[in-house]
Amino acid sequence: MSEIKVKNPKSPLKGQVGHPGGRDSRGHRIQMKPGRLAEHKVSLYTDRGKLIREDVPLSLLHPSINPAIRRIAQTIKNSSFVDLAGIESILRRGDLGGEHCRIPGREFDLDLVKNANEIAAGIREILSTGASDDASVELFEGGKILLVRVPSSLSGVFASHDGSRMAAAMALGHAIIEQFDLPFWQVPTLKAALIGRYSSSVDLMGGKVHHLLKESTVLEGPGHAFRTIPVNHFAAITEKNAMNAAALAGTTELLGHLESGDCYGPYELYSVLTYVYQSLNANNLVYDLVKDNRAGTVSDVAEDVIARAASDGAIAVKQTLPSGYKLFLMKKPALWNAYACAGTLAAVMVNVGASRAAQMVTSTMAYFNDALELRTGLPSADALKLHGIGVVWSFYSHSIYGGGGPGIFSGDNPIIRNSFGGFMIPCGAAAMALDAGTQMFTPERTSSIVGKVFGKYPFMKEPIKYIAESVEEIRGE
Amino acid sequence: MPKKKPKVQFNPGTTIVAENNRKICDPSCEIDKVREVSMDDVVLLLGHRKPGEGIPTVHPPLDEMGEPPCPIRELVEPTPGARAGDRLNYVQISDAYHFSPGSPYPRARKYFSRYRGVDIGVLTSRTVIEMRERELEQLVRDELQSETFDSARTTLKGITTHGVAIRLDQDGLLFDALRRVKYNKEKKVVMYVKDQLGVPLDHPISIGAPASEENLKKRALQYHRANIRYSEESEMHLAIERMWQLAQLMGMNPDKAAGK
Repeated sequence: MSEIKVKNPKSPLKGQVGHPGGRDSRGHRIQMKPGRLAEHKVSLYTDRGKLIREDVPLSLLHPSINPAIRRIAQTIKNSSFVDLAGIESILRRGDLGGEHCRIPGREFDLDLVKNANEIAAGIREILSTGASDDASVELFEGGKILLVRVPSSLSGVFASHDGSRMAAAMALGHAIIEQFDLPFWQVPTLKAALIGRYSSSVDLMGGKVHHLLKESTVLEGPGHAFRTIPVNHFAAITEKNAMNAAALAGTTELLGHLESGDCYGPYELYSVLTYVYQSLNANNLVYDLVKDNRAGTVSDVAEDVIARAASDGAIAVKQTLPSGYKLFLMKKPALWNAYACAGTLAAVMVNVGASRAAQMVTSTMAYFNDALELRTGLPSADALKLHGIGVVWSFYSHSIYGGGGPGIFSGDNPIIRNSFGGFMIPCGAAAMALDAGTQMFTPERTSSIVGKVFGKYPFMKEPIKYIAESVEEIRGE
Repeated sequence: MPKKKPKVQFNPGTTIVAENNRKICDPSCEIDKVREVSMDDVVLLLGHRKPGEGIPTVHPPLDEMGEPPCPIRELVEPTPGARAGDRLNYVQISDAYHFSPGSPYPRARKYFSRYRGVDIGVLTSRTVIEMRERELEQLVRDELQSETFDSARTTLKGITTHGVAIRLDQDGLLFDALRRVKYNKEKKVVMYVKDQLGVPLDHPISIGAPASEENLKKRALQYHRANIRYSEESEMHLAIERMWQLAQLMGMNPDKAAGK
């Protein structure tokens, strides 16, 4: 294994040997993953098809190594956002504990938004763990929204992401009590405004301290937290840039699968390779496919993917049948899966892009993969699962059996969560980014606060660029 | 039979059914036109609006509302309906099991290879197509005029599609609980007396004469024990069986599928 020097100018280890066992820009110890990931190299391109970095080993794009992916994970875990104007409004009306719940006699007026600066300072002081910690409280829209980030030193000792939300909620509560000298009989009402009906409800129903990830108490399974972010959030955070929306969605889905034990052993290469091809535009595959089929159909993209997979050595002709039909074999199954998943995303972009209507994502996923199966005799994306999930998602996103539009689905939804490695949600995120306003649940309606708050982080707004560039922080010269 | 050899392979198989499936999936093959239907009649049959009425919109025209900067939006040209902000609307095509010239899965393959901006739902015996309204009307017109639509064995059924089973009525028409179509014995043509939603039309719309059983068998897209049996298509069996075996193997360990 070669030695790698830390190049990041901000790193205290600049110029020192940083690999293996180097540190990232924030001083975190990282470990270079040895083995098969390091053997595979890809070139990374921007969302507009411009080369950023060449010959990047996959090991540098593994979530445990890549500094930008780690930043995304840390930011999501540590950040809560507070609807301060909402708290002020529900306290004034006594609308506590979610919909259809109003408690007369518990109303009181607090000028929270006017005093947002003082409240923010109070939260910062309560959460502080020392002079150099990275806790922060930021104001948005004149104090109507607060973004509270607990220090890493604190979140480091939490067992789950819930800690940052509860810490933010309680710090906010104490700051408000302090600021307004609240009498003790009003404190339970304030608590209901912050964390809602909990613990009468399982989740924090009606609370106005939010987190991107759902509470642990309502997760679909162990390690599913990162998969609970709805599709619309990705479109809102990336300001409806389809490539970046897919990249952010793919990143959190990979984190979720990593946490739920899905990306180990033979599936490590399978997941990471597919992630970089589908979500990070590796080798410019997705962009090229869309560009070459900009006026084409879903079927044209399938034809293109098969041709590229054959010429790049992922698949090869096994035998020719009497009708002239060529039966293919997989020379590199992980690479074929990466091409199939990247092709699925490109087909969604071509079909949804043409109609500017997100609802096409589900059937495009299904019948693009149907085309791959019939034309090669090989399993399509994610060993046929994307085809099946496309069919099921069609049923549940077209008001046939209830449900909602694609925008409010998240990766942990019990009917669609079985796609490995999160190869489906990036397609949904790209589709919602391309939608011109045909859906009932648009990103503007469901995710405007999330978009404003998390869109301020450049590595979340443009993950393709920042993940690729962050490779330099740990790569050798 | 396809008019020219397809450049890419669409599906395995040596029978006429496989050939027909290849033909409809290949956009370079023209699908035969078997009847003439006017656009006004299409609008009436869909029942979403009246002929001559403007198409309602769900959002302002794209040029007016402006779009956020996105490389994919810049690359992919929107369809005319999307550009104008047309609402999305649907049609549902129901196929008989008994020698219909279309069937749901082949229909999805056909539309996904020939149209842009299309959303297909494949269900038992019926195919839902959703598109921007002006593109939908064009697709329905193309479909009604094409050889994959037979006036007796295929029906536009926006609602109440169920009960097709294997039943045909005494005139050889696909069973329809709402009786949207009637056979005119004098003219020997099938007439729509209700639109796809089951609302009576002001005047019946002729959709042409049903094809003969022999002709339908030649145009079949689905295997049938009284025509080409699925068991006769050994290539298809080989390909599908192999695909499923490999999928199972990849579900256990993707590396095990290498070279297979």
